[in-house]
Amino acid sequence: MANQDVKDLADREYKYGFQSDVEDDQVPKGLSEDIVRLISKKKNEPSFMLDWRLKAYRHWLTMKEPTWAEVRYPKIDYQEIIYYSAPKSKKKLSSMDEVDPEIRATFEKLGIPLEEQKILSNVAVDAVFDSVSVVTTFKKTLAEAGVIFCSFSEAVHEHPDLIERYLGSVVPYTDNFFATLNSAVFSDGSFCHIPKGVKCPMELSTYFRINAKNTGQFERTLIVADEGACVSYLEGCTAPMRDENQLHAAVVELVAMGDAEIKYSTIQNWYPGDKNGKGGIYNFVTKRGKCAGDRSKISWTQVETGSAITWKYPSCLLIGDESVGEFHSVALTNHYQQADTGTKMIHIGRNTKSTIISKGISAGHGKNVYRGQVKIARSAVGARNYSQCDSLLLGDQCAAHTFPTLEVSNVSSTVEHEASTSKIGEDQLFYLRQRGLCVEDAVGMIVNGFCKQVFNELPLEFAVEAHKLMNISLEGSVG
Amino acid sequence: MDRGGGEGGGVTPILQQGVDFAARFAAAKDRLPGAGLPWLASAREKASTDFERQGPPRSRRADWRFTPVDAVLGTDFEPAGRPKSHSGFAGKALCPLTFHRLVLGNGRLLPERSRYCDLPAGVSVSSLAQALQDDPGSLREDLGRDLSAEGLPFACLAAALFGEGVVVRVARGARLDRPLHLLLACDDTESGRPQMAHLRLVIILEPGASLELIEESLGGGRAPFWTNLLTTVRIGAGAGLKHYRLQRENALGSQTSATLVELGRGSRYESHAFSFGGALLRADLRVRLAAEGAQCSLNGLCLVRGTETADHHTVVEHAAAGGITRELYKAILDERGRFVFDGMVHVKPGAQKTDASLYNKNLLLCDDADVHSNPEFRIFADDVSCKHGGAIGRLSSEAMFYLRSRGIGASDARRMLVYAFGSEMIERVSLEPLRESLMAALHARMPEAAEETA
Repeated sequence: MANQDVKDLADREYKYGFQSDVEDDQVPKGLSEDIVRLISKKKNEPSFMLDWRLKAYRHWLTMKEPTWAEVRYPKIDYQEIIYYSAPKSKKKLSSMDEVDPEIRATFEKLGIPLEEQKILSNVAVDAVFDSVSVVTTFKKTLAEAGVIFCSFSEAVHEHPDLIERYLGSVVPYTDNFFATLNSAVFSDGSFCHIPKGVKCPMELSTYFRINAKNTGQFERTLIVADEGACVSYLEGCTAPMRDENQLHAAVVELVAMGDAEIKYSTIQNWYPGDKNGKGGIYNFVTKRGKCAGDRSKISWTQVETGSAITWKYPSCLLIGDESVGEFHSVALTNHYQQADTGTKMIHIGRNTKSTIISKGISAGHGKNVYRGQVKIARSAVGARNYSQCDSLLLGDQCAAHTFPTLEVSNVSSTVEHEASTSKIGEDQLFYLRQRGLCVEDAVGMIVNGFCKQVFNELPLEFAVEAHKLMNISLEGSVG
Repeated sequence: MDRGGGEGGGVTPILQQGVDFAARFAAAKDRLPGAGLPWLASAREKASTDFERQGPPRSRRADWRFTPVDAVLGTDFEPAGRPKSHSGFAGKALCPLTFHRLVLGNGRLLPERSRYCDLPAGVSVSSLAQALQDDPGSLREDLGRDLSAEGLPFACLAAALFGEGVVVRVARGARLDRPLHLLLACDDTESGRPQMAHLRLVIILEPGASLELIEESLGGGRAPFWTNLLTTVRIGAGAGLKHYRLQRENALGSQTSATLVELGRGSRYESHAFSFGGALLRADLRVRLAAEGAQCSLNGLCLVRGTETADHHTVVEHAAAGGITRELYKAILDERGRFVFDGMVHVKPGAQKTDASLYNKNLLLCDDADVHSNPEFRIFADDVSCKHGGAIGRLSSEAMFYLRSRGIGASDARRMLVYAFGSEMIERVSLEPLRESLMAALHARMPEAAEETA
């Protein structure tokens, strides 16, 4: 019975697919040393930045696009992409009212009210529109606490010492094909520095939006939590519906010093393409955190419902003794979406701990891959890891793969990995249906239950959004 | 199947001191068994070309990255000659003499040591060289098989260079009254030089047949010895094979093996791999559940110490509905031993109602030991139940405390716990005499002295 009904559920429209008519300032398409110089010049950057970009660009030329991931896509022509696009009417903004009304309307449609609503909910937002940061709210309140939270370009001018010190310290420009590309051409992003002993007074948030056509988005986020500092950071993303694929290659670097704690949550809802797999964002993202100090903690939480292709492995380098790494993930693929995602936990310090909880849901022709690595170095005495990755299959055309790698070189460590794959039980569906729930609600309820362990890690506002997003993304695809 | 990361097509220079396999093949091909058969000559030729095309496996290939393959590629082996004496392995086998027995010494059949004449009707066992003389046509399907797509370079090498082997055929509905013990022994030759033997085993079970097969390799001698084995197994509908593989090389012995198993409707394959030692043990096991309702159970226990490496790669392919897989490999690592486990269960589209579990558990006894574990799943069907898990750890301090609080010394407590961990796999062996000698072999390999009191 249920299969057909359930399949009919899943095709709700992507509701963030509108586009806004904002005039943009673009560089010519294609990539060359001149473009890299031009981007740097447009951003009026100091020379160390240009040098770094050029080093990255030259290194990128020697690299090959990786092919090991379980994703299939036509070859990307890197000369067809516009590497820099900024809303044109940009001038120094002193208050929210000066923001281009079109952009503001766009963000309001997205449900990101830059104004009162967020004042009520006490979230500081840095909104990145195409490649450029548009506005950062709450700067003053944050400044009082000593927290620096601003766009990357602003940070380059106002805190060049911090940028020079930490940029590339976790993800060096030589890291991988997409991270190196990003290092050469990244246009903006967010920078955040929490000074010693400060607990950030509010949640920080960045909202990413790709608007312009034919552009790629390359932003870079750098968060540094000094000794004893604590911060929770949220990231959300959307893009308009377009037939062609757009590239998003971002880099996120986190640095946690002794006793610091960073919690990084993502709700990724880039346009996934239509039901036939046309269009959508290619999301090739490098995210890595470094627990540099003792007893530091980095926690990644991600809800991946969007993008035609997701290629993303938020990782933790556990260097400090007793440092902790966590990874909580829900990845949903519907229609022809492909997700190859997971994490790396590299244990170096003594008594380091890591936890991995990954939930993959495949529906329609979706393909979901968990790829994870847990590595215990010889120095990691007493290290502990627990991984669990579960997959739920909805429909007989989808696929779920798990590729965990466990490498242990220390006798005092304990590593455990568990995984399971199954579909929704007919008995579970029957139970809920005979209590009067329609198939759609029943499936939604089971899926949300499946993901609960991860949703519980999200900050409250995001958890509500995630629940809704799961139901929307599943519409028309459940089997 | 492509296991990813291959260097296929790349030309890798062969190490200076290693064997030049192409030259070796060119020199030997006219003297190898079945040299007069055109179809076999072309199959050997193709396999040799496939090996040269893939190149010897190096650490750059994803499925060989943790395997110190220089143990076999860095030595100039010569084709094994007649053993100087049989003292190296006499009386050391784990199986009782009452089993049917076929002994290959240094890759040659030793008729005086073998005893397989009183076989029941419907069962035939012979050396491969003999079978190629008597009835070559019946082996064409198995020996002519194209291996180029499997990504198993050493299997190609065995297919090109095999100098001997064994053919076992069990006719429809027949069964062997006693288990068949296949002893692959090696010992020094007069020259005292490093030796290698390439062997092929062909096992065919017709529908409804059943067989218990014990394949035991036993190292001896003072020169390095390398056994390279290619086994093809075809199991017909409703047939069942219990396959025990005991690897007992000495510290200079290496074994590389590829076992390709094809299962028919409702058939069963049970594999028990016991690795008790060897400089390098690499086993590739591919099981294909080709028709509905097939079952396989893959078990492994590896004891690794010194600088030994044991490396088990398994791929189970569920190509039809209703298949069942139960897989558990365990390893106990001491000193500077290394264990690699790479297990894959591949559920193909349409293989609904697949029920598979895949586990790997490893016990580390020493800080210098090293484990790489990849239990993997690829699933293309939705109505399945699949579980996998991996664990790597040391002896539980609580369990140690429990035993010690009952007056058991640290050393004995440790041995008891290690023994308990390993014996789970041996208890799964249904052949009682074999089970007992395996228990004794495990006992003999227990860690010597207690180092710490946990």
